[in-house]
Amino acid sequence: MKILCLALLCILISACATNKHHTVDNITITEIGQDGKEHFCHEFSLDESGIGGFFRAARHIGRKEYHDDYDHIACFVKGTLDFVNAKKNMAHCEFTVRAGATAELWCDDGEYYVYVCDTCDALFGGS
Amino acid sequence: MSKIIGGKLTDKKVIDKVYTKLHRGVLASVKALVIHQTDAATAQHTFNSYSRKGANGAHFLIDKKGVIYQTALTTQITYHVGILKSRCLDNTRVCDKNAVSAATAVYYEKGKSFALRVKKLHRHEKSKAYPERYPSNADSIGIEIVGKYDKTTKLYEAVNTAQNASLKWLVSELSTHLSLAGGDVYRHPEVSRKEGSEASTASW
Repeated sequence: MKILCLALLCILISACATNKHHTVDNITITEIGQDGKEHFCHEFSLDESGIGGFFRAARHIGRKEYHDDYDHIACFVKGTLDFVNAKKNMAHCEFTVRAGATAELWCDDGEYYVYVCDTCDALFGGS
Repeated sequence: MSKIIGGKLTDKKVIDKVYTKLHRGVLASVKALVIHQTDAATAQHTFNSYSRKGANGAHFLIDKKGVIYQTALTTQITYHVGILKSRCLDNTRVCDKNAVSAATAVYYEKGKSFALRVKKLHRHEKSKAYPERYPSNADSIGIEIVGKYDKTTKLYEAVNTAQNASLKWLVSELSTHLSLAGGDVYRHPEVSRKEGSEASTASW
């Protein structure tokens, strides 16, 4: 019986973990541009569908991991979206998605997030 | 006047707080200094990260009061630069035509994601020597200044007066001991793809 309860608990915990997903909706692009010296930015663009695809595949990381392990590429797409975080809280956010498959979100609930996608090559210039 | 003895900058202004977990091999020749900001609120946040296995970090750290800590030996490589930008593409006048063409081919390679292109460009750059390329982990010393990225202003916080005074002293001492010129001191975003405001208010 104890083993059964333990197994059930493990399944529940696992289910909770896999439900820790953010979602985005109502994506609006407001600007495509660059804020630094990068010569290939004219090749970079994403539409609303691409932004949605990025956030579906992306994972949340901290600022330190972003600074140490990811490249801050000057080419960006900016806009707004509705964001539901892993705790199911919804906020309206400004986003900046960059050509290195990274993004920042500034939300009207005061929260700030960094997201990266390590499997989004096809969306960001890859084939 | 300070001295460098066994990789330690010896002076009453420098606190020895070397983290051997940062060391990645012998730093045979120092060609440049790279100035960073920690993106952390306090020195302790950064020291905590230096204690972990596989830690990345720089050789010196200047805290909010301008206190200088040495966190790695000047005779050891640490991982602080990140992937290199191309000096040739940033200023084609400093390279010959062949070097510009080679870098361009990597940078504009079709079918490769932007992230992969800049990583390949970094590998291409590493095959060159300084100053044909920007300084890398293999030939530079890093100096971290405690300062956080402000998510509201979207800028790194300004380096304060005490920090800049210490930075000026440290750059001067290291430049003298290591025979570096003024052009051999770089802000982190100049050489690697980092946020442009990092160390932008650092002065020496």
